Amino acid sequence: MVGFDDKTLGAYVDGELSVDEARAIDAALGSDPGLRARIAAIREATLATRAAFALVEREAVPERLIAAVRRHPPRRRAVALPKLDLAHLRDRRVMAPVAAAAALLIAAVIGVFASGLTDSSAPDQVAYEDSWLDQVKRSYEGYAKVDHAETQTRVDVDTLGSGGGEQLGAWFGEHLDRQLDVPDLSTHGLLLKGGRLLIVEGRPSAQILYVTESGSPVALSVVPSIGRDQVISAQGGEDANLIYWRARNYGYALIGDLTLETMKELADEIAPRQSPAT
Amino acid sequence: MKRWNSASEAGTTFVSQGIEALLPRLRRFARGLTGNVADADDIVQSACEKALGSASQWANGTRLDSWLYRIIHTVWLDELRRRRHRNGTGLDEAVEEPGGDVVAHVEARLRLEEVRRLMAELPNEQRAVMLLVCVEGLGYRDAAEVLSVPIGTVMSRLARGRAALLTRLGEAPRRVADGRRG
Repeated sequence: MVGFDDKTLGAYVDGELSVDEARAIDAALGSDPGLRARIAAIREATLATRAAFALVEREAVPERLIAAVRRHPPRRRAVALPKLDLAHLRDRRVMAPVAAAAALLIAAVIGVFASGLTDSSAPDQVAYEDSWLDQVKRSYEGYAKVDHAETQTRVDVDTLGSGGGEQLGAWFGEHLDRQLDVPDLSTHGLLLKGGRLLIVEGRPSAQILYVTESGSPVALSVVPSIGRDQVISAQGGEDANLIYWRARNYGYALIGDLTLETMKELADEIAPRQSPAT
Repeated sequence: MKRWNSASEAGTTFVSQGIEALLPRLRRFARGLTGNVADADDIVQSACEKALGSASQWANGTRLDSWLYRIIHTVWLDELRRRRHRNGTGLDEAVEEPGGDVVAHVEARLRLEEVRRLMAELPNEQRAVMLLVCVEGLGYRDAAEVLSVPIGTVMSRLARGRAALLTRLGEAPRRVADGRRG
């Protein structure tokens, strides 16, 4: 193992190297078993640490902490985000650099632990549960099931009059560090209803809300998300389908109870129009 | 017909709602720093109150979680200066009990308990970086901003923390077998 120190190898495991730097390590991996072993060990340390604290996030938050947050005005109740099975929605940015070694690592370090837990709390799943797609899906569930009036950081397009889409984009612009193009999807039978601000992976994010002619909700989420650009991809679900892509440090996710074909058409129309302000 | 909120009101509400949504992750970070439930929740509560009292200082377009991690870390350092750190083992007090094979479960808990114990033995600055990057999933730039250190320092502390953890994990089975776990 020549030429790479632990700082560099750690950055490789964490996805922090440039493409060229990562390729240099990739090229060396094939002929350097010592390098492979060291990278596996660094991944082991990472996932063991993550697993050791994973269950804390699943504990019930003490009432005193919730009360401390809600004591501060304005204090209408926040939208509750329901717990979902997140196993099928994983962050590709995190998955990419570790996917190949994850199974080996879990078996080597915490496989015994995994065998004793329910499926949804296995360490490898817990490790990725804060992915932006997970949060987008949870926020959609909140939109579909919770009384919208309780969400203060939300605007209904009915209040905007003519040019509602542009004004909604301006409203988002007040809160986000980018201008946002609000697509008019009426030719596809989608009526613009409004938008809301969300916290996704700790960053302010936008969710544009539509309904179909039958009243079914459809949401377009725009989430700051560092990572390589990603082509449009699809995931089917029981209650809703999901189409997502990444471009220029933003992740886009369209979710709703439409056919995948329809959603792909929508994504093909939306994607070229979304470009962050420079 | 609903009216839309002013930017300042919406922003304050946004922070409040965001903090509430982030409470599980804030507790996890604080638990890793302090090593016990009570201290961690005290720190999170203090940090939340500070954050809400200065919500206007949070800049839209930046990560809310990073801002909160920074406040938690600062509160913890202040606390360390005021008193000696009581290094408890309270992490398991509120952890749900998974089912499954009893022997496997016990072995797994011992293993994860060992990792937590080894983390608690790391120097505070290495532990904080390990928690931010490995557990909370922050990028190097965000972790550097939380800790107010250069990215190179984040990389160095991470490398040292991981190396120490791996070395001690390699020794851990022998310590467990000898009944010398801390």
